[in-house]
Amino acid sequence: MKFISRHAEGFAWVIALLIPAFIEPGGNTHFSLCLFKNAGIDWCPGCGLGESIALFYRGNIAGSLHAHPLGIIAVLILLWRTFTIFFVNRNHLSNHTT
Amino acid sequence: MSHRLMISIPGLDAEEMLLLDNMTRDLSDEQFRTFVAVYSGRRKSNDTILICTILGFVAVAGIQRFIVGQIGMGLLYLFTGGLCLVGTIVDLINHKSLALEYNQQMAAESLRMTRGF
Repeated sequence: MKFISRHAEGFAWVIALLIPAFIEPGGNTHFSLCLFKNAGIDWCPGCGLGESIALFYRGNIAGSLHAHPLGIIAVLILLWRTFTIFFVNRNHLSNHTT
Repeated sequence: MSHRLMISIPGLDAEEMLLLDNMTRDLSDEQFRTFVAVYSGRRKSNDTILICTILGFVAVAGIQRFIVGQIGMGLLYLFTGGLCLVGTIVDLINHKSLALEYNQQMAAESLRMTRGF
């Protein structure tokens, strides 16, 4: 339980990275996780990220870049961040002598 | 030992204090003063992270990531509106953890510098 709360952000990114794997890219699902859209604002700089990542997962690089130029980069950066959260020891509780 | 921590660092977070207590227990008073001088200038308070995160809702996203040294994440947030606000919300919930993680690093560095003298 403590593990979860300490690494909550990591779990958030794992979920965020998994969701586009289950969404069929097609653009017609107006189910959007984008909160700007749900608030009524027409376009946000993150528009198309979910679509972009979904396409990337299915091997469609060109489509991915077309939906959002940073989709692939987002996946890479989030993967790196998740890795850092779970596998990089940030426990500095012992006295350092170095 | 945590007493001298409490009186030296205003706005000290409880978890942060626990962490620092373990790290600074064996420091002499003079070393401790050095440590505090170095660390105070580097630590980020929870409130700072929180306010920068909230900025992501009304203005620019990602500042909170930049100030804790996560440039890649910061740029990602900047160019995607905080990952369509989802990232900003994650950081809002998680802001204390972000601050603590960064402060842990800064404490370790400060300790190294202190011992280096």
